[in-house]
Amino acid sequence: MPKILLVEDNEMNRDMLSRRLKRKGFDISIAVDGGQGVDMAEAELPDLILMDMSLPVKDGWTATREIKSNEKTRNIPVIALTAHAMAGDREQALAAGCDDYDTKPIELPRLLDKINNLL
Amino acid sequence: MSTSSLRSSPTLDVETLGNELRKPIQKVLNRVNRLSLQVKQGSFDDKEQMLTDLGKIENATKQLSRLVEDVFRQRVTPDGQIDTNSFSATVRHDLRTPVNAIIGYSEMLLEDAEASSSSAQADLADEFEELMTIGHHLLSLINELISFVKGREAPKPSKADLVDASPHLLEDAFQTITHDPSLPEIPATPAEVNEGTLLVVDDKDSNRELLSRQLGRYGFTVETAENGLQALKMMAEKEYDTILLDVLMPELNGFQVLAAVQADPKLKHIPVIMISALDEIDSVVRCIEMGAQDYLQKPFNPTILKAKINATLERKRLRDREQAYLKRLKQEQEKSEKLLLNILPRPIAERLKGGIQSHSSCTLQWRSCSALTAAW
Repeated sequence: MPKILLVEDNEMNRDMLSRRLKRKGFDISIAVDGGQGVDMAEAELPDLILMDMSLPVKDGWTATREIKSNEKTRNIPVIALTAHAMAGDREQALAAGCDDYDTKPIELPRLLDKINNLL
Repeated sequence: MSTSSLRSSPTLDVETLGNELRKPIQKVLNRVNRLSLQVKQGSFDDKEQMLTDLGKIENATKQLSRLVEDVFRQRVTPDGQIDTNSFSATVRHDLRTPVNAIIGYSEMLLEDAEASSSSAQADLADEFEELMTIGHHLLSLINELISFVKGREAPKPSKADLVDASPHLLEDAFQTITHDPSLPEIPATPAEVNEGTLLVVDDKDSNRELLSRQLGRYGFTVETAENGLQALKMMAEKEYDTILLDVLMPELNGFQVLAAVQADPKLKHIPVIMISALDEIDSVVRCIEMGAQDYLQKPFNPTILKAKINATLERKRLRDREQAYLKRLKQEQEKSEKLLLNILPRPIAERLKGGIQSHSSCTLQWRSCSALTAAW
């Protein structure tokens, strides 16, 4: 089963996404802030990372940049999860090294497509 | 269910906006209460999970309600309008989060109900789908509210927005139609026909809103799509006179939409004007090479906007006339062919066509032309 690391600080979003992805056959690990996200990426070496962009401690852009500059983790595909509200989030996510992005509210079929493209 | 539009309210005031939002919020709360009771009293496999999820929907809805009251009670200026400065990106984000939760948990309840072996649970699927629909309705109301407030904003970024530290927010704030008072207004001459149905495709609510208002003022009929897929669907159902297409969009971007339009023989004659921000010249060139008619840069100069659209429409009108003419010509030719075959047996007709073809068809053409001229 492919392993996905979900980095998301909002409890409800985390709950919803992890449950639905587990039902689709993914093994899910959770990180609740950017710092934890970077650490777990290195520790677990997941097959894909879903990174919320607005995180406490370390934001999603910084966390992604660190993951992408670490030799051990740089090949792990990262999908940015951006809130619709912020203009420029998308461009910033791609500039930080994200392989793709998706906007909230999450539409599961759309997200699954993107995940499957990168795995 | 009816999706009432905030924009269609005759008096768009704070009172009306508030009520429009309160109604679906109350609806969700009522239904969740009823469903929770039903689940508690019934026997379901996933009872615990269902009650937990319903509880989460209730909490999210209550949170949304509190936020809405906050916006409408405390962020209102003395003259009764929503204070745009305090309606920051954070507020917008906070309004959307609980709505996303309402939608997400309803969807999960629905999925569980549909997959369930218990018929009692499956019966509830419709109820959960209703919840999800109301959730989507709430989301579109919130988005309308946001673009309404943004539309009233003077085009300068608020401090709160800058604090959110997105470097592109300035660009976003200025991607409105700027009015340059130094340029003379081109008067509407009798020859200028601001007529036609336009389709504006842009993922940003504020851009769609502003463009459609501006173009509407010039007399165009404007419809909007918020993504490429919706645009293509709308184009399949109606013929637009021009498409205004944003390059940078999520999912299906401007290039992909343009490629789809060019690939469809029914659509490729419809002119497309690409809309681009300043630093995307490469993509603009690529679009024109792919068949776009023209491009417009943001921020829009209203004079150039109007001129380019009118030029595009005029070109399309000429092309449409030409197509109509050619079609009529073809019909006349077919009529003449039939007539010839009525008079002469086919092999002789063919020989005649082979030998004296130029003479007889010239005569026929000439008659067709005058018939057409008379018609025009």
